[in-house]
Amino acid sequence: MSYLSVSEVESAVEGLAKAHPGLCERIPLQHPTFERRTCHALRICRKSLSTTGILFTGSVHGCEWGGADICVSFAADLLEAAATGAGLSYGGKSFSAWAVSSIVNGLDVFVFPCVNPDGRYYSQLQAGIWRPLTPSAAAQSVWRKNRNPVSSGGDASRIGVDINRNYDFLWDFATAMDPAAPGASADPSKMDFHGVAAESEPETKNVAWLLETYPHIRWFMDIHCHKGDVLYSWGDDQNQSADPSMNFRNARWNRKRGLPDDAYREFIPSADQVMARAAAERFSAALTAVRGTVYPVKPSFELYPTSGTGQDYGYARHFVDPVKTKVFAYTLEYGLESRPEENTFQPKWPVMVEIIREVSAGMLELCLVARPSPIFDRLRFPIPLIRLWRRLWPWEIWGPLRRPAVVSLGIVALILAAITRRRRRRGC
Amino acid sequence: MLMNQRTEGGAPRILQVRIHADDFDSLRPLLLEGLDAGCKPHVDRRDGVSMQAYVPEEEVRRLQKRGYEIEVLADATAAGLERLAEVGQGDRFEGGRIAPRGLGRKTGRGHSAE
Repeated sequence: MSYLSVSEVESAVEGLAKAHPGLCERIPLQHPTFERRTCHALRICRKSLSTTGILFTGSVHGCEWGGADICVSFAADLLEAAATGAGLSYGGKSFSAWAVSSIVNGLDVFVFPCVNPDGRYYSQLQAGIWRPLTPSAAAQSVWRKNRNPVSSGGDASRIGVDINRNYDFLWDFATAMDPAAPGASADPSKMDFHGVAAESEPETKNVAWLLETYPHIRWFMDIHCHKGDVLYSWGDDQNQSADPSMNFRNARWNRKRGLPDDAYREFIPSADQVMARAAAERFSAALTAVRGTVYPVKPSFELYPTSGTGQDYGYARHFVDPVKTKVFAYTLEYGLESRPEENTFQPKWPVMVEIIREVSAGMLELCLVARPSPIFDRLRFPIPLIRLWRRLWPWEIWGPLRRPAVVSLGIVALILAAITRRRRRRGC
Repeated sequence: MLMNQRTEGGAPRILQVRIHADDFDSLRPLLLEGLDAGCKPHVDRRDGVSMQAYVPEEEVRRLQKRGYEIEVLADATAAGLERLAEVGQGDRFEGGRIAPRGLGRKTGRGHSAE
């Protein structure tokens, strides 16, 4: 094996869909890239009735080749093991056949291996074709953006938009962020250029389209490199759970976001933070079990902010529009900074193989976290009621009454489920 | 061959560097100028502060003149060119006729524990 070329990523997705027609489908993404490539994602599930989906995206940045390879290997493992009734083992971490089977039976696993094929193609220097090294070619191997020339004015060094700064979350950093901490750039020559409008790029639209089209996606991991972190929201500022009004939608805080240790911090309900962190720690623990590598779990903000990222967009959607599903969203930064051989966009392939194994173990563990319990799956009837309850009385207004509220809601749900079951038994 | 490409072209290489400073406020101007700090700026707070970045080699000299301590970690251009030898040629999956296999070890029933 070696790193997949752009055409091989597509062939791999097609090959998996053909080899496992009862376990997965190949989803064409709706927005072709600037270089006219149509991307495909895989949807892995044994039955399409699951109430919960999880989305993994890779190679949003062109030079981060390993993201697509991780996604393809993970999907291939999951499908082969599910099809043959096998378990999976990665170094010191094993998953039983039952665990694998419960993932494909209870969860919709969406895998979008290569979000930015144009950037990947450019970064791979049209592999195998020799050409002299021009200044722009020297930058190709570390190219992160897509290849949209709309803002370039004919200058090759100004081509492209950073997809992970183009999402509709505080995209307009000039309005939303402190001028000293914009979290992106409006200069097309920079690698973090955020584009001409929020979600202007087809690659961004494709990810947003998946989240819109499959509203049961409740978990999302965007795979990047290199640092060795598992990051959860927020990325625009430090987190706080005390003041719900201090949030990204509140214009009163415009131009005050992004600086550490000042008045503004981004609101995250404490229950969400606990959940996001706990799931990420399960991911990290599974990864560690493979060969001892430790990826710390932390909020995305680290002294300097980001704006317009996929992770924050994924989690923010339900705040902007309460009808939308809450998505626990993560950024994985694979490759440990303290290991020189991993501290690069493109580790040598044998090094990448070890990274793929450990990240795959983490991904499977996250699927187990995301998978609804069989009991919850059977209690599908009260879900719309729970959603309605949460919209009418948001979590944060309950304060000390949260626990009694949850307990009473649980009792109501159990009673309703019992009534439903009884009616079914009677054939009503 | 790869080294020849580099020298024949004579283009400025991109270097992966670590920039050291006394505090984060000293690094902030670089980020505002659009320094390529990778996918997401990561600031290390051991022994002052430091941050990885990708910069053309002539930019290294400019940064040093501005008083930053620069530690060169790798030649990113050379590393990228070397990795090209490890990118698939042709199509191993023959347009989807062959399915890829993952890197995990498949285990039989009862051989593993969750």
